Amino acid sequence: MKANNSPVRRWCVMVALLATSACEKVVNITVPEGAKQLVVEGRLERVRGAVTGQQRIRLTTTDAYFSNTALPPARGASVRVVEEGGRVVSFGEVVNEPGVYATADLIAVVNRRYTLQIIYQNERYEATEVLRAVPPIDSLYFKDRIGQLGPQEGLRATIDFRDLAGTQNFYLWDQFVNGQRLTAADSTFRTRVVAPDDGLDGRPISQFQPYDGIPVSKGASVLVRQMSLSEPVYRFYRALSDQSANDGSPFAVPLASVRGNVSNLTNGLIGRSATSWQPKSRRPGRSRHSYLGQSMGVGAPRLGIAPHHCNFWWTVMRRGCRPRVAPTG
Amino acid sequence: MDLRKRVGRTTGWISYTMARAENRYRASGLAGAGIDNGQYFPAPSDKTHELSIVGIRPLGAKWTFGTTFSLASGLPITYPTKRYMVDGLLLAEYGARNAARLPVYHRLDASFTRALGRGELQLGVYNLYNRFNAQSMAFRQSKSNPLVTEAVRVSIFGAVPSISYGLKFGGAAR
Repeated sequence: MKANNSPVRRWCVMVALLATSACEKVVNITVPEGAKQLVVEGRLERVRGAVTGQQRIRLTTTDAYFSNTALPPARGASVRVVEEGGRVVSFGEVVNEPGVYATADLIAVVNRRYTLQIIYQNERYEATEVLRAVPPIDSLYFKDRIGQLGPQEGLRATIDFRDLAGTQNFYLWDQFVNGQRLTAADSTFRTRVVAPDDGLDGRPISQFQPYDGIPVSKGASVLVRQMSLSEPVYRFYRALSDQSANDGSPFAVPLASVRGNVSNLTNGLIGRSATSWQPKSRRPGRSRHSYLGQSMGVGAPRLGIAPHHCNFWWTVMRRGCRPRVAPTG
Repeated sequence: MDLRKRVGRTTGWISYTMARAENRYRASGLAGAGIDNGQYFPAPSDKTHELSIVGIRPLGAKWTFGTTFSLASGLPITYPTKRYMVDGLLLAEYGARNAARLPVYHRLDASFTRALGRGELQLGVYNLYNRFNAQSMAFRQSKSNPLVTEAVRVSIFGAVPSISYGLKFGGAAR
C-alpha cells in the first residue's frame, strides 16, 4: 500500500494529534492569601500487640497556597487530652520536632471517650471522639490484581479479615512499602483508602487489596495497617480524597474546603453545621470488598479569625501482621 | 442585543448577551449556614458577557465561507487561599465559592460550505487559532516535589478540523 503519504492519512494523523493535544497545563496564577489557621493532625493509637502510652499530635498552621515550603509548625501551644472519667493527660512539645506534642502516659482504651483541648495563641480548640474497636487482619499475602480495570501486572498486597459483627465499621488502610507509607493509593481511585462495612456486617472479607493500583516490587517489605474510624472521620477522609483527586474534569466534585472535627471555642462558634457540599457517592462495590456508601463534608462552621479545619481523630490501630516480604521468585 | 448588516456580498451579525446566573444553598434550620454562609454565588456555568460575530460570504457559485468569532467571560472558579498538610497530602483551603474567574474565553471558527448532491458539505475548523481556553482549573500537589502546589489549567479542545455532510429532505416530511 502506498498509504504512507496519502493526504487522507496525513489528515487523519493531524486530526488525531489535535484531538489528543488538549489537556492540562501548569500555569502561574496569583491567589489571595487567607488568614492563618491552626491545623491539628492527631490520633490516639492502640496498636495491636504493641500497646503503649506513646501518643503524638502535630500542630501546624496554614500557609500561602503557593508558598512551596514546609508548613510552619505551631509552637508553644498547650495540648492536653481529657479521658472519660476526668483524667487529664498533658502533651509536651518534643524538643527536636517543633510543632509535635507527645506524651508517654496515655494508653488508649477501646470505647472510651477522649477530648482533645488545645490553647494556641489565646484561642481554645476542642474535639471529642470515642476510640473504636477494629478487627485484626487475619493474613497478608501477595496476589495479582483482582477485578479492577487498569494495569494488572505485578503483585498486590492482599489481606483477609472478618468485619466486626453488630456495629457499623469504617476502615482506613495504610500500606507501608520498605517502611515508607504510600501516600497515593491509586490516582484513579482515591487518595486515602477508606471504606464502610455496608452490607458486610460480621462477614469475612477475603482477598481485599486496599492499594490495588500499586504493584509491589519483588523483595519489598510490606506492612498493611487496618484502622477503625468513626463515621465523621470516615467522611472527612472521603472528602479529603475527593478534593485531592480533583483533576478539574467536568465530572469532578466542586472545589471546597474540608472540615475536620476540631472546633474553635474562642471565636464563638457554637454547634456545627454540615457543610452543604456533598461529594457524590461512588459505587464501585461490585466485588465483595465493599466500597459502597456515601459521604458528606464533616461539618464545622467557617468563620472568623482563626477557625479550624483539623482532623483530630482517634483510632484503634492494629498492625495487620508483621511486615511481609514480597516473593522474589 | 443583535445587529445585522449586509456589506456588498457579505452578510453578518453581531450579538451580545449579558446574563447572570447565581446559586444559593442554605442549610435548613441553621441561620447563616450553607455554602458561603447561604449567600448567593455565581453559578458554575455563569458567563456574564457573551459576544459573537458572524460573517458569511459566498465564494463563486458553489462555495460559501463562514466565520464565527466568540468572546465570553471566563467561567467562575474557586481559588484556594491557603494550604495545609494532612497525612502527607497538601490540601487547599478555599476562598469564597466561584469568586474568581477563568481567563477570558475566545475562539474563531471558520468553514467552507457547498451544495453537494441533495445536501451540503461543510469543511471547517473549530478554534482556528488553537487557543487553549480554560475549561476549569485544578489545584494539586506536584508529583515531583511534595512541597510544591501547582495550578493546572484544564482545556478540552484546541483546534479541531471537521467535515460534515448534511442531507436535506426537501419537504418530504412524513
